[in-house]
Amino acid sequence: MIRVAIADDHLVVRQGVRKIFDDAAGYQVVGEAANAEDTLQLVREAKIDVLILDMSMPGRSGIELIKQIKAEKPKLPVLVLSMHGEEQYAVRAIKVGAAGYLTKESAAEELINAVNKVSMGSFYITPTVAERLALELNATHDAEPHKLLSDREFEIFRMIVAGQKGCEIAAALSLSSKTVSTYKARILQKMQMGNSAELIHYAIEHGLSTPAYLA
Amino acid sequence: MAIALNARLSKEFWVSVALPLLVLALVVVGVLAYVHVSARNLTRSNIANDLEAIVRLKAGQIEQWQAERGDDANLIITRQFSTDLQQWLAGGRRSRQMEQRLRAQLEFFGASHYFALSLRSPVDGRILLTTNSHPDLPDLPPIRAQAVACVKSGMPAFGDLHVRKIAGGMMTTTGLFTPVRDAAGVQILAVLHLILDPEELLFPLLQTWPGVSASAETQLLRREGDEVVFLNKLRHHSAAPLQLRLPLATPQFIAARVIQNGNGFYEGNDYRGMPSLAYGMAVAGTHWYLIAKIDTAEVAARLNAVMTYSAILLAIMLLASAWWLIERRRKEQALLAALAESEDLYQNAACGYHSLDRECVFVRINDTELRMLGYDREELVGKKRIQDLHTPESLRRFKEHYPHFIASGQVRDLEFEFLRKDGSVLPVLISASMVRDSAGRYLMSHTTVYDISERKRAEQELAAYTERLHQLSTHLQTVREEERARVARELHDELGQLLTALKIDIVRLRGQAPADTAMTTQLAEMTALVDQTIASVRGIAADLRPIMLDELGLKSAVEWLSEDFAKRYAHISFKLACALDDCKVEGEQATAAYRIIQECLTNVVKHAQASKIHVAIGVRERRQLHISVQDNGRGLQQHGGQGGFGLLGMRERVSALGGSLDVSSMPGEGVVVDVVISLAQVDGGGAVR
Repeated sequence: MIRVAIADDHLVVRQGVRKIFDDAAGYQVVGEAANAEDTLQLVREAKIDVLILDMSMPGRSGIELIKQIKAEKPKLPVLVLSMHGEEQYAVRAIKVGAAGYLTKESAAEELINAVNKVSMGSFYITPTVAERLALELNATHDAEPHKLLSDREFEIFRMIVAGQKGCEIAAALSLSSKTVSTYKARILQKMQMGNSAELIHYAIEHGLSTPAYLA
Repeated sequence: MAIALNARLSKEFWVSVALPLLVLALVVVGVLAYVHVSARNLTRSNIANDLEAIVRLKAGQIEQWQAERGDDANLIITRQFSTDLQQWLAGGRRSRQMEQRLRAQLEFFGASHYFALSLRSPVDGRILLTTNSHPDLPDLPPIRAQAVACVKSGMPAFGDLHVRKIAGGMMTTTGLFTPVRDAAGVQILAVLHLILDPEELLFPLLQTWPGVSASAETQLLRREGDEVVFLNKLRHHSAAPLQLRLPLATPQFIAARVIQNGNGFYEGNDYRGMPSLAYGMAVAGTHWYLIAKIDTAEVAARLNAVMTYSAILLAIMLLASAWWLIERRRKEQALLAALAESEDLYQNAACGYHSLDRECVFVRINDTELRMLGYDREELVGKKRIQDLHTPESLRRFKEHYPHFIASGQVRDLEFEFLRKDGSVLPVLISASMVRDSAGRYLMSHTTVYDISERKRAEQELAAYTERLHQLSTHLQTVREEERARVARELHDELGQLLTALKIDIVRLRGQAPADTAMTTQLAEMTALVDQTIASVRGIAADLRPIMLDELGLKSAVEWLSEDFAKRYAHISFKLACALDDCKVEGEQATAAYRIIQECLTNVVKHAQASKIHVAIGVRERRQLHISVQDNGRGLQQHGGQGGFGLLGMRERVSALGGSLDVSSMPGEGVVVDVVISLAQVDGGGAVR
């Protein structure tokens, strides 16, 4: 018997979910909550195996609520049941500790499956969300200034830090010197740097270039 | 006013032009009269001198001529001639041979020079011997008497002029009587008579006149009883020599007075009765008087000609002076009028004028500026410096600009604030140029001062109005955004949840229904329809406003936006660089950032024909959000709609948040939109620095 709690501010949804569990055998709905505070209280007081949580309830943002629940009951699997189809929601929910993410329109078909999965300590996520999570784990720090550069800007950045002069870059890329200097100004602006020396310093620090005198 | 001016000018004209001209004319006339009198006197004295000189010259020539004739006689009367004559006379004048010798001697000497030579009897003057057997040769009683007189005086004597009838007219003769003595020189044997034709030398001598004159002539005359006889051929009378006579008792005639009064200058009538100037003198050794004369009229004519030319010249000079005076007067008046006009322009110009010296003290100032400032001229000129009129803030700017003015010599369109006398502030626009002396040293400034309080007020009103428009625009955008968010949420939450519940029921029905029946199929279709409806609701809601923006923040929303975009426009390569770090961008800033990126993407799709889009979002020092959207499309010139309301809306959003938005385009390199939004509002609670 899996004890399930439902947190959703919409009565019709709660009723629908309850019906799904009623139809299936081996599940018991042990509590319902319609807002964040009630949910937290429910989690604290009731003995629950799986919490089915709507991310858009009044009182507190869904992400914050998951964080709070996970802080209080780290072992409680939280299955997010959301109206939002966008993967960003799923990724954020998983990242803050949710065990699974299910859109409401899939609930009718997938809810039992999902609850089974998360109750066994496993994740319930779609393959694309999994991929995205994997990508984010591997990704370098997104906030690095040179990531802001466009392809062309990065190309010119590489040439500048390699010690090439404006006119050489212009000739190499078939651009006018004026355009090159405009690019350079944009690069400096985007990377919040004052001059070419700072760019070269940054490039060496981040392993983006070998200085001309070492090459 | 114009009429009064004219009247004044007219009176001035009389005083300054007509009167001096009148005086000048009177002076000229007086001078002319004086010159005329003195010139006449001078001319008369000159003429008198000339006439006297001529008379003396001619008298001298006559005497010379007479002396030469005497020499001729002495050449003839040799000792041999006297001896021959004595023998011939002693022989009773019968010796033909001796007569021939005597005649030959006479002819040898005289035939070429004289009309005739004759020897006359010392007793009665009759002709003893003559070289000319002309039948008309005169042997008149007066000549015989003269011959006898000569014998009596024993000295050679000139005979007078005589006239006689000859065949075909009259003939005038004169002659020299010389006594011929015997060899011993005691007894006078005969008188040698040299007969001269005055036409040959004497008359031509008299009739020549030095220089050209229409009336001048020389007259030779003598007294015969109570009459004056003119001896030579006269210039203005047809009478032959010795034919014209005048009574001596007619003092109006110069000729009569000369004979009575002797040598001297005379003014009177000539023989024609014409007023004349003359000099008369007696010719020595004769009974003749010589007169040189010229008509007074001719002299006067010469003088008059000179005077006329002088008068014309003076008249021309007078006219020239008049013209010059009037012209000068006219110019002076024009200048005065121009001065008055420029003074009026200066004083009552639409703008203020003032000039400052080196120390910035007022040198002069026009009425307009005085009215602007509320000062009297006496309070400023020479007393106040321009610095005294500036407000403190304005003075600071004045001190900034002043060195530039000194260096360049001019400044243009500077805005300052003056303090009026009553303490109120007068915003002004100033342009100034430097006036230098010939050595290039600073003399004074020429400054124009425009009262721009109206403009300032209009600017302020415009700024206030613009600000209200901005507020309205921001408000409208906020309201619209809120409205969209509300509707999106309603759709998403309420409708979405209901559809979810509906779907659960349908799926449950499907589970309860017998398999593979029409009902199952229908329920499956219904499920699909509900899924479709949910997707549709979700799409509509997201288009209105992504709820994610509020729930997950900007980064997620932009990521979703870019994924959505990439799905819709697979032909455009989309790159998103989002360096938001942990910094939260929320509320208005997040909305603005999201909307701006959305608008840029829309523009690129609509206009740019780009194949690449690069969106970069970064936060600087947790204070500034930097968004950059680049494409590689056609560039801005070809983007017809880029300058439209889309861009304007973006600008409004950004400026409402105290940020900046730059759109730049490099031809062939696409468009770059750079947006910087300050995040200080979130941290600092509203104040935008």
